[in-house]
Amino acid sequence: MSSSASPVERVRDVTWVMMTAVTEPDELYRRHADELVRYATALVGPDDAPDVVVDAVVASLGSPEWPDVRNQRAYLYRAVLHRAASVRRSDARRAAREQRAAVPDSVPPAASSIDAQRALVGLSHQQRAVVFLTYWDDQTPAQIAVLLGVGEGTVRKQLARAREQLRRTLQ
Amino acid sequence: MNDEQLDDGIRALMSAVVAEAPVPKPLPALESAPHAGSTLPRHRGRGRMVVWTGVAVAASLAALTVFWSSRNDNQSVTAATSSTIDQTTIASIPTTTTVDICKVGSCATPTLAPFPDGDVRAVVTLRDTDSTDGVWILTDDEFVHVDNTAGGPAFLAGDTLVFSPKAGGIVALDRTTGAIETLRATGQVQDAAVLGGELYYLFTDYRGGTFVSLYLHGPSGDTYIAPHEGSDTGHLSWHLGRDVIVGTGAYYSSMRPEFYDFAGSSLTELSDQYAPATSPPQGNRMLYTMNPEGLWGSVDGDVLTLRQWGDPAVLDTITIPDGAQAIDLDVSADRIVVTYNLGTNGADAAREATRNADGSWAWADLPGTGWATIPRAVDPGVPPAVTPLTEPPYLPTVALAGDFGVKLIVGDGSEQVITDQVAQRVLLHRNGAVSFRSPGFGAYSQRWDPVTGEAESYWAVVDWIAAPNLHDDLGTLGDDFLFSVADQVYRYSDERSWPAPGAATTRLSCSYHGWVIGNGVRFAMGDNQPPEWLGAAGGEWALTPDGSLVASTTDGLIQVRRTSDGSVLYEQPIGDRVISEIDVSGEWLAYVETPSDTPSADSTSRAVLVHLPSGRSLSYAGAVSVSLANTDI
Repeated sequence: MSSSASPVERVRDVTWVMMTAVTEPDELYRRHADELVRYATALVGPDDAPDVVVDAVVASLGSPEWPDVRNQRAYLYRAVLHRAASVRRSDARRAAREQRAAVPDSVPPAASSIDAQRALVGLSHQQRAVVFLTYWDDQTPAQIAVLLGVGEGTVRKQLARAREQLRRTLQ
Repeated sequence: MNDEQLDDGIRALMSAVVAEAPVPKPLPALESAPHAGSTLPRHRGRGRMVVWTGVAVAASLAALTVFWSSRNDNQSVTAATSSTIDQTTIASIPTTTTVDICKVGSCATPTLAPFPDGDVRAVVTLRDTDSTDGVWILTDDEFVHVDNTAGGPAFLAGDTLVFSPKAGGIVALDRTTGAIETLRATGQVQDAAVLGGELYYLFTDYRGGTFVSLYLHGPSGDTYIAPHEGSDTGHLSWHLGRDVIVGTGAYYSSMRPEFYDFAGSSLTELSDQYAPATSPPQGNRMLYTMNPEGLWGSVDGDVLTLRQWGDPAVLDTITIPDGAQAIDLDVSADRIVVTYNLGTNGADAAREATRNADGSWAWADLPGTGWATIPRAVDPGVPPAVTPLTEPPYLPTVALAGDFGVKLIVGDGSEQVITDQVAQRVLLHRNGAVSFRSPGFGAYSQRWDPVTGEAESYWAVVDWIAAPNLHDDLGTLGDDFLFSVADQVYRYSDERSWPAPGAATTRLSCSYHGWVIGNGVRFAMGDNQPPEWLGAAGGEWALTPDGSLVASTTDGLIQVRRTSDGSVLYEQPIGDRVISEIDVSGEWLAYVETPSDTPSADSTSRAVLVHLPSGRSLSYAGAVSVSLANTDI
């Protein structure tokens, strides 16, 4: 059997496509790259952030569902979060042997960078995202919920747990 | 620390984090993106067998030489110079008329492959969409089109040309007889060699996901080597030596070489020994290569360092023109072939270098646009025995429901019990959440949050005319999935709905681009309609997230087929069983089976997971519902 969306729904779909299609990929990237890299830096640190963003954006643009995406910015934020989580999982797997072979940097990173990244170590990637969007972007839990595609209650829970973790870390 | 002090502290922390944010990189996949620092052309047009003019190459290499000299004063390298380029050699090669041999799998009597008789200098694969695509053979005086199906690098191992058609799978073409043989229905060949008189090949396999597994095939069967992230012919590069495998498997992190023996054991100490001196390395990504005789090389930035496997001594260091854009290379004692990505997210062009009498290297462009490899003409002898698979090489991430409740099994074999209440239906979401329906929790489905570890009801405040039925995840990072109430199918994120009579008695499956199918159900959530043969009545159906493959239980068979042409990748008779659910994702097929002489979905049912590349399977007794993780974005 075969069926499809109602005419009203089809019109709505077409409208969404038309709204999104006007943003060319390079213009979209130019518009959001800086904020996405800042966001990714909070998720995975500065070394991997640019690659995470590029991979997430390329994957998003190549996704079959991209033409139907209504909120491209939110989609990119979710894609960066997903890619960051994947990178962190890979990093964890390799952490032991990489640590053995690591050659000390000739110029040690700034103390602020070390402290900041260490403070975030205890947070999950989703908690990092919520903390960043709350304290850097000044977004409300409702706004973050829309951006990340999760429930507002989930955002509040993650924020509360992250705050407790950071309270212990910062004390 | 009170709340106000905590807030101030976190804001200061975020300021410190953001202060470290680096500058974004350009988007490599966009045609319009700038390509700073490159002297190579963007993308070479189809049909041009010689595409860099001598002037362009000379200018390019001269610029590189100057750049390199200013950047590496303390390094001893053999610099490429424009004087070594011999464009006339390539330009004078006559292009043989394309021979349109029959496509693999549809040719009853394979046509003799028109291989040239002379020594093969390189195997070049063109990769776009026009009639010149496929494998071309380059000799000193010919450039011959011998295949029009290949979609990735091809390897001439002895007399056997091994390559992967665009649709997937691995094919062998005998240059002496022209015989074509399909070695595998799925996968992408990564390298091939004749070792001790037998054909060995490395291949990666995946279905719709970005998690790729590497395998070695020898005369005794397949050996599972390792899982890796990346695309088959994008970020990965694997090479086969006589007794070792080397690859660039890590796109992120330190980009150290990854060595494996033929039993699939990681040679970690050697990987550490040859890791780049700085982490992350200077220049662009690292590349590694090896030939069957054990000559191997690493590329850091523009510098190729050659060694013989087993001896740490450096044999040579060579400047690779535009090395930062190299994505693969082959080496032999007197030749180097480099494949470049010029910004189109794939192999675009290739160059070869030949060693001059004075030890310098002469560079020239290879014709065609795509991958290039050096023939593996030498058999270095019998390798160590491979270790064939006897069971699935690893576990997938899968959620199961049954009398035992709901549990989540992840790749390392660990199990997490979501609930011990008897459950009837489970759905694993891409973000790791698990939805399930259990009588113990009432009529409405629950959603288990992997972050909080808590389960909440989805529709407790909604008064539906019937209990909602879970179907399939829609692949987005938040909550978005298909469910049905009676004969109406809904999308959770926006509650758009479609009529689908029969949805209550089948499990629907969807692809990211909007196809929805089930037993007697087929529709599209957008304008892209699924092929009409999908969703036929009388069986269960499931799509991979990208819609490229479909699993079904029709005509007395469990099958996995390509949606593009219906070709069968996996098949087994159903026999005396009832299959009540089916799912397919990544390298895995999952289904729930019950002996036909018992009521369906009772305690005798079980979930069976089949690892498709190897055909090995495992089962979970008592499961009545199964849901595989979606493995790509």
